[in-house]
Amino acid sequence: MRPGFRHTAAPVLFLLLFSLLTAAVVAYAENKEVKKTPAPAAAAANDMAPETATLDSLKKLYGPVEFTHKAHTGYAGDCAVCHHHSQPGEYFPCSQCHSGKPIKTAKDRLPGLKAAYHQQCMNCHKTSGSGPTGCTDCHEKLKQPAADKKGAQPTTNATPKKTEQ
Amino acid sequence: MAVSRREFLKLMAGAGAAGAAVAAGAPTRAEAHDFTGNPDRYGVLCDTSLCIGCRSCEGACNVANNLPKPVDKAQAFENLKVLDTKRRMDHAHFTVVNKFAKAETGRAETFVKQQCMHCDEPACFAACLAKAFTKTPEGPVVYASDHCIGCRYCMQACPFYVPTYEYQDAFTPRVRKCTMCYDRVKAGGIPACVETCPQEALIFGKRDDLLKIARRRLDAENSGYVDHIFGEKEVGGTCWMYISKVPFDKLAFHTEVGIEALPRLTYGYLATIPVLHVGLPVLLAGFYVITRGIGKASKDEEAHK
Repeated sequence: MRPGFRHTAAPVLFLLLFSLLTAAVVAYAENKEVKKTPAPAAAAANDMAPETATLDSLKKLYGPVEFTHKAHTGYAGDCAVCHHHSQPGEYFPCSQCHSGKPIKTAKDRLPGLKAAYHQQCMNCHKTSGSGPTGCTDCHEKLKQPAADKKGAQPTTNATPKKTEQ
Repeated sequence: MAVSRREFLKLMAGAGAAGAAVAAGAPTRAEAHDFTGNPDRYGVLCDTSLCIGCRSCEGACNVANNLPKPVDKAQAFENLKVLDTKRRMDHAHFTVVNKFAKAETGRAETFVKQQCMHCDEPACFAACLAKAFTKTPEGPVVYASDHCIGCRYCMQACPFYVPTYEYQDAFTPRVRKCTMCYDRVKAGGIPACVETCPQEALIFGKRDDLLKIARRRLDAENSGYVDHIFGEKEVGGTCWMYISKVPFDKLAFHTEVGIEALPRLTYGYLATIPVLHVGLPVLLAGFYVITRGIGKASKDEEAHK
């Protein structure tokens, strides 16, 4: 080897590696940013809304639903579209009003929780023409009773928190 | 034979009493018209605008009634391709859901669940020779195979073409139809299909309450419902009723059945049978027996002269 080579090769190699690494990191970061941008209209409310919600109150026949809450704030545009019949700024979970029991007498005005979920989700999916409409599109059918079910445990908080403005 | 005046009057009184007894036994036409049914009877309201055609009701019915399980994927209740053809109930399916596409309805795609209507005055019950059907006070019309003779008059009589038959069973065939889960209802529960429906398109409750609920939905502003509750008055009223946002004739409902309860078509004639075909012959035979001796006695006297 020519004398002096060792002194120049190492820093050159180091610089090359460093620039490659930097480029990779920048590219990755840019990519991630693009995916993250929400619909402009819901940008403000989006910050308050939880990422996902696990809807598992009715466990017997089907597994829980991993509801992509944040994505839906974009689809709906306004929180009140789904969190209906309440004051602005009040974002109750569905179960707060829809007690769970189905309509049985003329005094009952609200559908039960199961119907509230399905009617709210399915009506929009049907009219907009997009969104899952099949049963197992949203929740897997349990092959065994709920007690023996193996698989993912809910990782996020079950219901969106009530926020105040 | 000669009959004394006293004996003749006794016989006439006896015959008159017998005739009165027969006439009192025959139910009068007025009773049929006054039929209102048990006011606390239950029913089911089906809101076709909520049904999404998931067939969970068919699956629940299959389990609740121990019907033959689906053998393959094509028969499984998750298979929604079957909705592309119109189906009818059969011995293994007490209820079916049929799809009516946008082109057929002229409005939205609609799904309609079909099953026994549990009429207040059922034609099957009236047509049955062997009293195999019962209109229970709770509302459901139930069939018991113990009395059935297999004549299938019920199948001919039903205006909704509901009862089906186990033709494939040679020795113990039964008539099969929805029971509104009578056992569960009697024990304080609700029918399996109603319980399982994810959309609450089916509501179980007192028939009077269901009419109020239906009326409320129909009267709500801009609700879009057709202003008619199918089953409120049809064939004298049924316990299973429907509301819809699509005209009923577009959904293959039997809108031609009218509001007259079908048993009343034949009740007038059937009510006269005890009087006309039993009481009257007995009475007239009695007259003949009593009076045949009168002419004979005078003829004998003539002959002897």
